[in-house]
Amino acid sequence: CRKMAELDYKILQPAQFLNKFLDEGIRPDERTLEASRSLTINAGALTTANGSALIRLGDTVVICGVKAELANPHLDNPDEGYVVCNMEMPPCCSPHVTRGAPSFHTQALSQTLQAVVSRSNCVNLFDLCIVSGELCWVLYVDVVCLCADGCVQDAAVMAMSAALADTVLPAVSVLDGKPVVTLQQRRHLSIQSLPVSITYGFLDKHVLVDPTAEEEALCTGLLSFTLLSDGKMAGMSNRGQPFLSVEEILRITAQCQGRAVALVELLKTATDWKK
Amino acid sequence: NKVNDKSVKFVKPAGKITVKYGPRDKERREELNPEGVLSCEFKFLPFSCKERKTYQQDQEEKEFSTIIVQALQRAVKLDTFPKLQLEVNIVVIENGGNALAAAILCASAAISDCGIEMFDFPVACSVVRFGNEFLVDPTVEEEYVKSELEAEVSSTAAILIVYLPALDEVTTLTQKGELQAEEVMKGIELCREGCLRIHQRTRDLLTQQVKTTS
Repeated sequence: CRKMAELDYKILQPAQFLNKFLDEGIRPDERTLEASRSLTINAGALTTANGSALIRLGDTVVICGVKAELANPHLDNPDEGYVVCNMEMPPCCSPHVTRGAPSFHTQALSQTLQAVVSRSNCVNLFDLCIVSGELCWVLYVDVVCLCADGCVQDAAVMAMSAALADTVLPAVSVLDGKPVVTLQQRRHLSIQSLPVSITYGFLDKHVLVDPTAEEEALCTGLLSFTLLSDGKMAGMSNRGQPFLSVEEILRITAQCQGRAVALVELLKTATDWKK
Repeated sequence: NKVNDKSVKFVKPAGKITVKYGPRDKERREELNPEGVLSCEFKFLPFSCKERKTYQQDQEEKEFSTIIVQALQRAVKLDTFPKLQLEVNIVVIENGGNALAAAILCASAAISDCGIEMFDFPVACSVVRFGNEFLVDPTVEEEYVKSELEAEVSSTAAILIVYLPALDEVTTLTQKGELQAEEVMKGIELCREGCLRIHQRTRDLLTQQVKTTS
């Protein structure tokens, strides 16, 4: 009977239900406000992809696969290969997602992932070039969310990092103008740093680290940071209205560095990556 | 799985599939059906096969989607959810071969996990004629091999059936490739035996799961 009353309260007044917990310094899933959920990284599980990773952040499950294909380099960058990132959220990930074209949120996530790769030096694009102006590798990084329970961006960026660190490319030489691929000779992709993402949710005066989907829906705003493994920042964005002063933003920016270091260590262990 | 209505992660050797669905409002406002409607979307993820797949469904995936609806429709008691749509979404994470049969099994398991009433548990089995032998439950290499012998006309042929053992009914039957009539009959028999084995095993697993969760 008490469980039913609890459930009714949660359904009818979700914000107040959550606030009752947060005022006591705890969350409905028994975490403190600064605690993040358990994280599992499983790299290299797929045999069909050049690189892959499965990330579980609490109940959020994201899988990333990297497929490498041969292509012509872009005209303005003849000595570089290129990377194409895409985020996909199929209907199985959340009851709010329907079939059809990707939502704006999903497309924004694709852009975020693309920006991380294109505008930081994490992947050595010169390394992807085989013959200048004629032949290069193109990496298709496809990130798919299998279960969306909050902080999908965090899981997506980590999945992409782990999958790229796991990526192996076969040797390619050119004979009579045609590419010859030797599958037996393989080398790891040259990755210079591993990006990670950290999201904070804001509700009234409370700051929630790693919010679940329920918490995200109730937060007035979210703030996400993308950091690289050498400590540099690779991106910042907010969704909604976090209602923060500049001092608060600076405080949180300093705080997320510590968490980023821990995440990068986990990634390094999981993928066996050495710079 | 916390977020979805019901979902099942189905792991075959080197093949993982996830299915999710849930009764929801019909998308198109057609005349009201006295029965529920079953719809299905089958998709290979871009990195699941040897060649990269695009985000749009190609013809093969659309064909598989139709086959799955047809296979499951007979078994699901559609009159228990009138005016609603049962949406089955199947996503193949890694294709180790025989994806369609595995998808059908996964969908059946997910629907039963949801508590939706069914007449029987549809099982699917497929058989491939590889050289002179019949191979049940082919891997990717066995499914898509091309004939290396130019002198003989030999091609890989495949048969798939979806079978309801309790009703002794075949809901779906497909054959691709060249086969003699006797080979087809033999293939169907092999598929049926395979289905019965799978059905037994699934029954045991599901009963075990119900016992442990209740």
